[in-house]
Amino acid sequence: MKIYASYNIKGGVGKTSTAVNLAHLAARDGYNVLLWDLDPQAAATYLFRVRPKVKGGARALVDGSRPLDDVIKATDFDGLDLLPADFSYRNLDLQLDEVKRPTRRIRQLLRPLEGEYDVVFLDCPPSISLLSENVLHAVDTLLVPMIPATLSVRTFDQLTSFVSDFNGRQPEVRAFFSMVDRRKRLHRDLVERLSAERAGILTTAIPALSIIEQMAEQRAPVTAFAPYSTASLCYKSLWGEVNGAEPLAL
Amino acid sequence: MGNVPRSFGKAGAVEVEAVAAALQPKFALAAGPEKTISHTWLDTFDWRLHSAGISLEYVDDGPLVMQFPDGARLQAPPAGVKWPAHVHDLPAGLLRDALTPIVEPRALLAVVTVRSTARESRVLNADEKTVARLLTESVDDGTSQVWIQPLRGYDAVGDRIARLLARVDGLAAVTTTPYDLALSHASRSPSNGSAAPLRPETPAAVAIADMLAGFAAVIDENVAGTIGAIDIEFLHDLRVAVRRTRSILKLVGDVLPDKLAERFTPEFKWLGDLTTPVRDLDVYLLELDTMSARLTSADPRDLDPFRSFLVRHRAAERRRLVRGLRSRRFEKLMSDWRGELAAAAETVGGPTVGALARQRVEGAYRKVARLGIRITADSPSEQVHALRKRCKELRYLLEVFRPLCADAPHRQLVKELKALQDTLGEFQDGEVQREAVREFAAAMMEQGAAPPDTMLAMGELAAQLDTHQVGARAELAGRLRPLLADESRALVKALVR
Repeated sequence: MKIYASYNIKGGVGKTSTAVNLAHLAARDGYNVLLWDLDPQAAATYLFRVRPKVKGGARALVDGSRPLDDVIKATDFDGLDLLPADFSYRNLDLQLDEVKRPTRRIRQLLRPLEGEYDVVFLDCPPSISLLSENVLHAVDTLLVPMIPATLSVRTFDQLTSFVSDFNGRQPEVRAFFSMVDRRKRLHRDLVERLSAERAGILTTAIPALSIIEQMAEQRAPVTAFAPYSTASLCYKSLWGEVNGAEPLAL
Repeated sequence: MGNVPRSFGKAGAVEVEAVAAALQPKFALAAGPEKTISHTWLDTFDWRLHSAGISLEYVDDGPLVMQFPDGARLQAPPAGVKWPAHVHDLPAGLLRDALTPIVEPRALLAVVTVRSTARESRVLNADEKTVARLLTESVDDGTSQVWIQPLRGYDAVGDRIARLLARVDGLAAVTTTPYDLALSHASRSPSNGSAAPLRPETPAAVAIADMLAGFAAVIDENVAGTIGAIDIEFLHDLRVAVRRTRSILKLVGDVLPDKLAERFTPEFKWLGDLTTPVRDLDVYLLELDTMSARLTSADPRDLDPFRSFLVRHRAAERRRLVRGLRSRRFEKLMSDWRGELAAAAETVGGPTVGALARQRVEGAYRKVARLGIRITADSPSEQVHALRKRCKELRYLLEVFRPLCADAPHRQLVKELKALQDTLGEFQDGEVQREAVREFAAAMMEQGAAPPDTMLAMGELAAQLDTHQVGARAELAGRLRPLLADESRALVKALVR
């Protein structure tokens, strides 16, 4: 089971769009996919029209009284299941702090699902917290969408250095530029320069497109409702790159 | 999954409007477009997935979907696999992991492809969330089927939808699975080949001819797969049918008319001998990994030249086998045999099969007992082999005459005999394989394909097999005791009803 997380300290950078579209593409490729919406704002849960409600809330999941298996819901898409968000996830940090080995709990909770899913995506809330540390310890690959700005790249550097201090297992950190506006010279320059300068930055960039924003109206991944749009092609290229294929020439 | 039936049949087309109306007001139906699809189902030649209640299928170029009896599903990318294929040809992942223990070493074949007009509709709740899928398929004969596909986390809703659909005029709940329905369009199906039950009053010649015709059919149906090298079990099943034929000819063939047994025994011996080398090499290759893992002094990689030698040797033996199975001699043997058996099945009078079974089972048991009583931990190998052959004969008779036997004594005898045969088998395999390793080593030396490390590793293998044989011999007396006890003698007397 390969675990990815879509993560950034900042909000509004395209984390949920990344998780939702890549999860949909992975399922369409024939993988058995689970998306866990860890963000109490429940954007991914809303997109899939699932009620943002987990019986017993975050506490029941974290203390193990309710196995993850019990709360998983099928989405409208074959092979793609969702572990919905719940407003109580805002207290996940507190609940994680109460268990043994609090930084490894999320990984431990996912372990029983190994026989059911090939790929898991974690859609994370924007923060640095005990939850984010859990996520960093749980995943194989951390996907970091970044807006092209010098400060975003500093954050990426901090994250890479933080992860490299982990004892034992370290996740791969893969960043990519998101919400890129090709009309802005600064965006163009930064994307070009930073991709060349740093290892770990993927070639595919996701442009700022209104069709991606329409996901909330359509309540579906853009790769499902507009599969041939530029946005979808970019997500396909990104998924291909993440999953080990060459990026598409776009 | 709930207990409410979730499959429905209908004569004629399913009207989407009627289904949508039945679901309202609780649910809405989002009907998908009608498509012509090509739906392919996969299974092993011996229907392992069907027997396990599992289906494995794909639509057009879509992913492989495995569905378990409880409704759980796994999928895998199609990855351009061409059928027949082995499980290890499938992309690595959960579906492959789940299939491997069920299917190996058999290959997966496309057992049926059905073209149909299909529609996938979604049942939506008040949030417009899909809570179930309805799959409608119509085939050429004018009948339609509707399946409710369960969605994870919405099982109770699936039951509610099933109850609502049961009210639609013309829809009748059916227990047929989509796979079973597809198999009704297939050239082979799991129910084919089930023989008529054996009755004790049937003339022995007729019953034995029927039995042999059944084995002949198994030989016939495994020839193409053996020649095509689809998987190694085709040859195994073919050999089992040949061995059963030969045993029956030997043990009860005298009841057949026109000296059939006498005339055909040499030809089936030829066929048996033709198939032996490849099967033996298949077994060596299968077991080589386990054996090499047990090496303590040598490195398992030292055996690589031995493995390559076995693979080359097998390729040469396979060419001989294929030539034999394509020969005029084989074709004539099978066609003459079928003709003679059809004639023998018309025999009138003679002893009944019930009387024959009683007489021959008792006789075979007496032979086992006579030899078994003399076996000790020091008995020479020849005596042990003789006992093994007699046990095999008794087992064949118990197998073929099973329908004529009382259940409980039959079960008990087979259980005791099987335990003994397992030990005898280990004894025999140890000896035969050790001798074979020696012969292979000599052949490899002759061909100059024998590095010293490989020879040493093969020596260790032979020593391992020797130890194995000694262990089996030590167990023998203990295994024999229950079968030779007075209770077992009484069971044999009471066996044939």
